[in-house]
Order: sequence, then structure tokens, then C-alpha cells
Amino acid sequence: MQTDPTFEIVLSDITMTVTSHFVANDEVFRIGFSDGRPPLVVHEALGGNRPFWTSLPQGRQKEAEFFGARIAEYLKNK
Amino acid sequence: MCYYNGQKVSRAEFIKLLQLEKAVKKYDFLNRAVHNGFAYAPIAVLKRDTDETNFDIVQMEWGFLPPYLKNREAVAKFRNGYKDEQGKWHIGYTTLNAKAENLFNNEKGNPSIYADAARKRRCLVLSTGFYEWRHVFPLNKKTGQPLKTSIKYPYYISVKDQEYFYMAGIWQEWTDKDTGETVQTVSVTTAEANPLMQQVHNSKKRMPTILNDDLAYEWMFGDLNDERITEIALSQFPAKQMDACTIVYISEKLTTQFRRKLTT
Repeated sequence: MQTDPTFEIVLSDITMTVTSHFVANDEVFRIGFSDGRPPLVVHEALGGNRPFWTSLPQGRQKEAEFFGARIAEYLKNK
Repeated sequence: MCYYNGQKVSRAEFIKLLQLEKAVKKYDFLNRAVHNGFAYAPIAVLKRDTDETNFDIVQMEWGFLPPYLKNREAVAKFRNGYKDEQGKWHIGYTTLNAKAENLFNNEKGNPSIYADAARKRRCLVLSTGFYEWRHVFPLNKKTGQPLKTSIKYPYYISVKDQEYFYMAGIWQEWTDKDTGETVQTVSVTTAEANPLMQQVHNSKKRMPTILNDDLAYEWMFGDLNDERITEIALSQFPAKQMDACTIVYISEKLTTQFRRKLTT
């Protein structure tokens, strides 16, 4: 279920439209992009006690790390 | 240790991620707890199929867009208002709701942007319940007079013994002439509030047009004249069949970490 209203994060050349959801008792974020690339689902997982952002399913790790960090930054500064 | 997306994770975390991956695949991202209209997100709508004998369940963008808007930039101006080159402010229009009284003529008496859709493209918006604010004006302790600013209390309104219900809607296809993107957009019609909704939505005293099964069928499939369309859109769902209760307002400012704590 979606938990919060949709929010937008505007970067220099792209706008992310983000919704947060609880799926299987965990939190995921779905990101829509203004440049037309496919939506990305990201999740903050734990790797050796260190949190890291990952894409769900696997395969878009670079994007997950970059855009996940932007989400964390946005939520922290709200 | 295992690897997920090239990152070293514990076996337990790996299993959790695989389970989450599976759940995400099946997850319908329309399944949201709350639709905030001003996010203009997709909502579930029943509309007549091409044969006009049955209906399809489709997703539509909430917020009716007239076809003359050229692109998303024009949409943003239409919705939010804008200042022109001379510095004159043009107000924005909220088309999440369409007043039943103004489906064919707007408040100035001119033809309404909704008229064609009301005649040809009526639909039903599915809902399990909706939220509305009740405004309470506290009394000034010294003068005993109500303060000018109100405290807002959110209420959740639903229909008794019904998991979901129908709200009358009208839809319009809109094409972005820059990108060619076509979306179906929808507006929910509103009627005067019934006694329950007058107490809850005490600032505007309006409510969505909630339709029982018979009216819902007639709204979608009936060959209706303008008077009947207006009559149905103005119909008040009985207050005694509805429930309203106060709810706790959870701030958007909850952090990821705090939300995670809430679920563990």
C-alpha cells in the first residue's frame, strides 16, 4: 500500500516522481522519471550492517544507488 | 555471504530481498492507502467498453484536462495558475471535482468544459472511502468569540457494509501535442452535502456524488438527457448509510527510519 503522498525531486536534468509503498512488510520506493526511462523500484537493504540502496529486481544497481541517495537526502531535509 | 545486485549481503538479507523482489513483481502500484488528488495520480475507473454493452476497469489521471491544452507546460499553468509577460496573474483551475450544477453551464452561464463529457463519457470512480477536513473554530478565551483560524480535523468517510462504492465521474482523453502522449483524465462530480457531510465538510458543504447500484448502471449505460444527467449527479447518498470517523493525521515528515520502526 502507498504510504505517503507522491513527491517530486528535481535534479539538474531530470525530475523524479517518487511514491513510497509497504510491500511484504518492507518499504520500497517507486520512481518515475521525466526523461522517459522505465520506472525504477528501489529499497534500502543491509549489507554487512551498512545500508545500501538496491534496485528490485536486480540489474539497475548504479541507478538505485544514485536515485536512492537522492530520496534519503530529500526525506532527511523535509 | 551472498551477493545481491553486486553487493555483499548476509544470507538472511539475501532471502529477504528475493522475497521482496517476488512481492514487488506482483504488487499493484495503484494499491495505495490514500489518493491525494493534488498529486494527479492514476485512479481506478469503470468505463463503458467500445461496444457500449459492458465496462472496462482502467486507470485514469485524476484531474480533468480539456483537449485544448497543448502540452504539460500548459497543463501546469492551467492547474496552478501563472503570471503572463505583462505580470498579470491568471488563476489556476482545479478539475478534480465537477460541480453537478455546472456540468453544462459554468457559474458565469457559459458552456462548461465538462458538457461534452457529461453527455458522452460518463464513468464510475471506485472508492473504498475518502477523507475530508472538518474545520473547528476555537473560542477566544478573553472574548468568547470564535477565532479567525480554524483547527482542521481529518475524517474518513465510507459506506456502511460496502467494501467499495461508486462515485459518478466524467472523463476526457487528452493528448500532449509535443510528445504524443495520450492519457484519459477524470473528474468526480459533487453534490450538496447530506446532513452527515454537512457536519464533516463544514467549510464547503459538498460531497462526491455517491451512486447506488441502480443509479450507477443508469449513469454509465443510460441514454440520458441533460436534465436526467444533472439529476443523477445532484443525487444525495443517504447519510444513514454512511460512516464518518476521525482519524490520526500522520505527517509526511516521517523519516524512512521512523517509518521502518513503526513496522517492526
